[in-house]
Amino acid sequence: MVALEILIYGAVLSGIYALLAVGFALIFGVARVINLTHGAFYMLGAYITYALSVLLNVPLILSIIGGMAIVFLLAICLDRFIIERIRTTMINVLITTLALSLFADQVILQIFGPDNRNIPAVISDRVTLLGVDIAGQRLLSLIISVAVIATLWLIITRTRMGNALLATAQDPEAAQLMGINTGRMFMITMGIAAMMAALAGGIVGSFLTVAPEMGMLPIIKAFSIVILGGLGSIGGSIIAALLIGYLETIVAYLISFNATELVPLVVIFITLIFRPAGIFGKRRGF
Amino acid sequence: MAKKRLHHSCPGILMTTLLCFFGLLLFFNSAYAADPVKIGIIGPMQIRPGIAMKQGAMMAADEINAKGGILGRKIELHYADTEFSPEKGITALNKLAVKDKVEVLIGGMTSGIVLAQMPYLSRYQLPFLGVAVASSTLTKLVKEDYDKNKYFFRVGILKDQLLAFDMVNFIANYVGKKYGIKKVAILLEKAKWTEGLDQAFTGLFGKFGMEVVMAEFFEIKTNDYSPIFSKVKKSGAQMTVEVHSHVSEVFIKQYYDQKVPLPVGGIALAAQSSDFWERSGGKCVGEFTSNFIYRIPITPKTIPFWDGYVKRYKDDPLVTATGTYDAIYVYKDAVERAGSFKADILIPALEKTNYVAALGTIAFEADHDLKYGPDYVAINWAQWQAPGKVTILYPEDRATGTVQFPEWIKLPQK
Repeated sequence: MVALEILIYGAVLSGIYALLAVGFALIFGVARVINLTHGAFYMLGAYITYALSVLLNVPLILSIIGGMAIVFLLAICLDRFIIERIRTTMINVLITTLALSLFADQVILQIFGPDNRNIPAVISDRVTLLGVDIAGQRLLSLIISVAVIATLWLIITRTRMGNALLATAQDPEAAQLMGINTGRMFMITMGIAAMMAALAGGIVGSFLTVAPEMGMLPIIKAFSIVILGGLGSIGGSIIAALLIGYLETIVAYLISFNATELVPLVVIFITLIFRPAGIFGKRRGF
Repeated sequence: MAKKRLHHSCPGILMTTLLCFFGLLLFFNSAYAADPVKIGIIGPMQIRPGIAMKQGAMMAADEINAKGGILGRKIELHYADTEFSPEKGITALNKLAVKDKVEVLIGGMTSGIVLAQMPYLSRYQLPFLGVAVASSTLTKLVKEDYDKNKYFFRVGILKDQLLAFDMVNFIANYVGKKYGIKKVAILLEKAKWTEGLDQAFTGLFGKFGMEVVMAEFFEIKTNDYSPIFSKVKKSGAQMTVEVHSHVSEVFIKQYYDQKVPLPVGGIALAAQSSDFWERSGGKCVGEFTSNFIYRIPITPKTIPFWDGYVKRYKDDPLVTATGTYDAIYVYKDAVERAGSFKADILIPALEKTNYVAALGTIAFEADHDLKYGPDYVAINWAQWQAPGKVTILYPEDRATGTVQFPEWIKLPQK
């Protein structure tokens, strides 16, 4: 029974982590940017979904899509007007995105106040799967994560835009010489990654919570996942998300549920000492 | 000759000196009386309990000022944010004491922060009426070193041991007796005020003929409670007892989602908010909750305070709002009895407090702890029921309804 619970809850946790980390890895892979506003996009996605669905009574699915669309536009503006100017200096990008992330927290705090909010569930029923009781919404979050990541994979590997993204990731200068608008590729990547974070925020709101500080934890998780997976490697991020998601669940069930937060930190230490490039990384991230 | 002249002028000099002295005394006294009395409100001012403290304080200050203030001095409120951190808590206290020059501190949330602030109270000789701090360590310090720690009084809530006793009493004598519950699982947040409470609960439940089959602490920032609830399900417990003040609605949302077939309830600060039903998406259905105040006639002041607060702020008062409101009145009462604002004269007067407040009758034990019981301050036990109302269950003379469990919790009534 415990094994089944670990299997199911671990998969759900890994799915959410993958949704967050793949976007984070994608930005680094294509644009060579460590984007610390990623957590803020997750938080904004949750708040916009909340505002649309609860305050404006927009149907929930449309609210989640609305949240993704608004965050997509915000991310594109962020890339176009701010990151593009400082992209070449990693430290400037880090400081600026961190500052913007804290700014977003404060804006949300001023608009919505410090109280936690709730987003209704798309599926409010509970499901019994292999004898394990689980919220329908949690299961849905796993299905959505798998579907979104699979779609992204198909786009990257099977479409012209995907090829252009891969070319930009490999060598931006060569890609530009081949007629690819790399600036546009960076912008699209930022938009897609932000949209995925917003989707994660919108779907977890019913079983977690919506609060101004909610973006901090996902950024730590996403960071540790991409370090383990290899900075910039999407496949590596998916596998690392599964590893960390399951490792946390196993630690919680079999050792202590208070030790789970140590897992990503221990993983970062071990990876940086023994394999600084991560599992699938071709070069050292730092 | 000169000697004689001096002799003659002596009464004149004396009279003039006395006149000057009394004149100056009158001048300083009137100037002093005209000065407002500065009250420092200290707590996590950016979050809901802190905002409620501010609102409770403003309401009390406005009422008192409208009637002439305290000994003729109007109340002036000053605020400082502890941001839930002991370091920021000390900075906040220093700001109120040194910059704002307040004469009393009211508020406080999180015992660890107030514990860090304690040494500064004697340094500034500043009375502190603690509103939302439950650790018994605080009043133990008063008992151990009275001269140094006499400045602290607990006003708004009972100490941890009494909270624990009252909760066990409710579970054993009400829920336990009604539904034949003998075994409980206790889940406590990791915090200063819950230190040692697992042992205390085990002993207390034992005294009431019940057994604690599982007692676990969890981190305040826990996001996934599935493993914890899974362990509860397997523990053989018949009820889940929750003890937390910093945990949001995630706890109860996931308890509902995981269909844990056991009644749940205890000390949960978040569940005391009037909008908790909304914030949890109705997933708190069936949760036992408690509060020191509901809209019931605990004292003649309870309902007028409740209605006044709701009218003014369009929100039900949190325990921190009531505590701060009452604490300002307790301070006023003590100052008026003492005839002085000076800490050394005021503290003996505070110790003799017997004030009928909104919360109950406020009086202090020798260690400055709030007196507990039906004649003083007691806890009301209630349950969240569909479609989003709080039904008071215990003490039974205050009950507004009976227990209703959601359909997946099936317990035979005894």
